[in-house]
Amino acid sequence: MDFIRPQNGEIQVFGLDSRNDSVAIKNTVGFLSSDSILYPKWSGDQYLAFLAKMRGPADMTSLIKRLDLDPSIQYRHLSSGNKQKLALVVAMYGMPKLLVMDEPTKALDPLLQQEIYTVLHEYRRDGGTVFVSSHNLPEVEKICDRVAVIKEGKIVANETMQSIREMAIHIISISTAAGIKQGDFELPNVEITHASEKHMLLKVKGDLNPVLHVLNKYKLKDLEVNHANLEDIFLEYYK
Amino acid sequence: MKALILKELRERRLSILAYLIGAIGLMWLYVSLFPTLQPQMESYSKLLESFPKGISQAFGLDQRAFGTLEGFISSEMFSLMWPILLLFLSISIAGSTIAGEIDKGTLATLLSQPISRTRLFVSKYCAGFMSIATFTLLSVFSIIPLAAVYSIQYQGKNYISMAILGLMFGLAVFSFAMLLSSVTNSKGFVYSVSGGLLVLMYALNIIAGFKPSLEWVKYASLFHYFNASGVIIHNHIDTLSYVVLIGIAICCSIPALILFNKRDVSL
Repeated sequence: MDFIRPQNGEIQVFGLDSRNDSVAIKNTVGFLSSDSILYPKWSGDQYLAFLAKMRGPADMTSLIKRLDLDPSIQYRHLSSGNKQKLALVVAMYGMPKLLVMDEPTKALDPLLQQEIYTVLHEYRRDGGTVFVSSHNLPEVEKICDRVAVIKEGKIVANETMQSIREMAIHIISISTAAGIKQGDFELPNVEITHASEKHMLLKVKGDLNPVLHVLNKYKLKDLEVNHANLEDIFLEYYK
Repeated sequence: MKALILKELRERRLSILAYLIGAIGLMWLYVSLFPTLQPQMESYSKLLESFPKGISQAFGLDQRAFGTLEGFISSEMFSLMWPILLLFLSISIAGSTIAGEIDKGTLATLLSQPISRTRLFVSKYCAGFMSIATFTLLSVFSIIPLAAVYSIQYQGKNYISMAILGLMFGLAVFSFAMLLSSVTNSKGFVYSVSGGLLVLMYALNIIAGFKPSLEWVKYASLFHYFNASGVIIHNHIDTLSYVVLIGIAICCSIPALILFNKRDVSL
């Protein structure tokens, strides 16, 4: 968004340079920040009138109705959920080609979160691109097709969500009637994340068969095998 | 750019109105008192003549003109009260327009719009200038109808010069405060540094009037170039005042624009 001036390197958005063509880029980009605050005394209607002068006319009636937002109320009198709705309307004004969002559902109740996910899903279906930064990894799994993991300021992974899901990392939860010997599971590519007398939680990278082979020795009370979620994979990169 | 200027003016209209009501209210008070006090002005003038010259200079008192509306209003309003209102307004606009918006987090919405930082800065600068001009012109020229209401003789041209000097003074302070606002995220920093510096300059101007050996320090004070009594009584603005006040406005506003363009805006 051209807020931070680069010390070196360059960023291109839709083939345009982020510094030299920032005005042209912003014409095609909507922005929603988790920490930005709209003008307290402005109502939604005043925002829409201002945006019409800055970006040209656009009809946002359907989105406003959909979000059940009253645009005549001043921003300072809105609840946190309605403030976020108004910020979303402002970001999506004129249906830009790209939406840049930072923590789009921060501090929102689950119902409103679902509504925003639906709006973003439809926006993507209609050809829009969402670029979202979030610490809420289940949200990232819902919204994103592709995920980049940043560690110490550098991108350490850039994968499609599908390929992340297909990564052979499994979480295995084992409960037995008798005790479990921890040493039996100290195998290559197996990490014991939790161990008690009759329960164990394992993270297995790659082939599951060595673990299943060990499990044959035990009388199982319960066994659960899941693909690792984004959070587990994210933590892998931070080890 | 017009939309941004209008947005800025709309945001500030109530504070400008409050300053105007304060300034015009005080003008009204002093103008209405003048016919009652005028017969006693001769004795005031004699009292002033007995004061050291430095005191009269430092506080903008001209005993020769004390019997006129211009001399009276100069000593009561334009020597301290009116410039204080002008300075408060100028610094508060500059502090809140950039640093204040970053501080509150509202600048993100503006910066994410398709407008360059240069246009954003120029819009905010123009809106600030227009606010200062509105305050200056309306408050200074309010004396003319007030004088007419109370059937007091006045020198109309002198008020034009006073408005020009006030505008230059306000613009110089506004530009300096904009320079600070362009490099910081805290409007409190803008207010304290600008305010502190102006208090120091005011003190320097007073000291220069009292101590002949330190007379030269007056050149380091903006208040030396804001010679309200000389302008409103004698209708004369020093060339040095034009050069210094406009020079400060230019020398602060251009670097402010460059620094605002270069800085990171963390939101």
